[in-house]
Amino acid sequence: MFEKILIPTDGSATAGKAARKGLELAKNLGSEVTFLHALENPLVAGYAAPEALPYSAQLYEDLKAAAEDILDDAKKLGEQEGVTVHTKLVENRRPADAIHDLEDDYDLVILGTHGRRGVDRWMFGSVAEAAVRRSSQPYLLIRSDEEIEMVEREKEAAQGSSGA
Amino acid sequence: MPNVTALVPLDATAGADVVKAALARLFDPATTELVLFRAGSEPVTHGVTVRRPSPSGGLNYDAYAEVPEAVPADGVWDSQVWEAARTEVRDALEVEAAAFRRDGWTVRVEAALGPPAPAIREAAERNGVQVIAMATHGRKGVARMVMGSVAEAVVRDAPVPVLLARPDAQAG
Repeated sequence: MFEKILIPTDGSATAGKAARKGLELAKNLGSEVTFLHALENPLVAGYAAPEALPYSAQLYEDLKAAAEDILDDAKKLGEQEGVTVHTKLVENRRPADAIHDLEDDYDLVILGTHGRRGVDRWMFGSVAEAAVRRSSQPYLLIRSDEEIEMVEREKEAAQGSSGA
Repeated sequence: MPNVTALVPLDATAGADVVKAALARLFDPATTELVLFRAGSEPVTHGVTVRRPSPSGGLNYDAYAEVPEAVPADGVWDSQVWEAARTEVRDALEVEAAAFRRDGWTVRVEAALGPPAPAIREAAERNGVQVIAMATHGRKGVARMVMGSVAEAVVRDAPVPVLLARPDAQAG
């Protein structure tokens, strides 16, 4: 059985769905859950403008506070479900690297994925993809509802136009 | 009555073992049904379709029903070639199914012919599965570009959660 489950979260709706599904699973299996949030340094990651440099320390503190909120919310969610929950905040690490560093201590990694394509995928990359590619543990990938609905709509549109 | 039905797409390379191990840790064989699935390559056929008059007859071209069979120049219809190819895939899956059954799983096999990713999605929908469990090769760079990644395409389109396990995980 999977005794220890790692659920990386970035606070997004996609990650939220993975968190809920993961907790449900953990409850059924009697597993412990660790929520992981990786905090990239905004200056290293390159999304802070040079003008923001003087405020970068403040920016980082804000991001860190937001990250702690995300983990607190996840922990509360877990406690509501009656699952043993731990949280882990990793600083100065890309999310895919942070997951890779930790995965050996866990039996399963549950990740939300947005399943974006085309330009979106190129621009935002995919943490899930990068993490799975180097994985040593099984991964359970859960696609976000929004994305599933979008694909369904695309399919309907395609059927509608070909059927006409 | 199984609580969970899982689709297990297997390709012809090693990977069944690692998927089986991951499934065993997640689900109880007693309450889980596995659908082993493989999409084999489409057989090469004559690629000729003939048209013959529909029973209703008439001069209207539309009244000629298209016959989806190639001309059986060698006396073998296309449908027979396809059925043989499907049977071959199914037989190969039955061999792998035996290993799963030895571990106490309830197993069905299902074979299709054509591109794997859409076939896997269709099979998942047809069987109403709750999860797809498959191996990924974790190829990078050129190998990934050339070989593509079925697992990646499946994840991108999957209506249900996908459990991915890497066959060479122990080595790396």
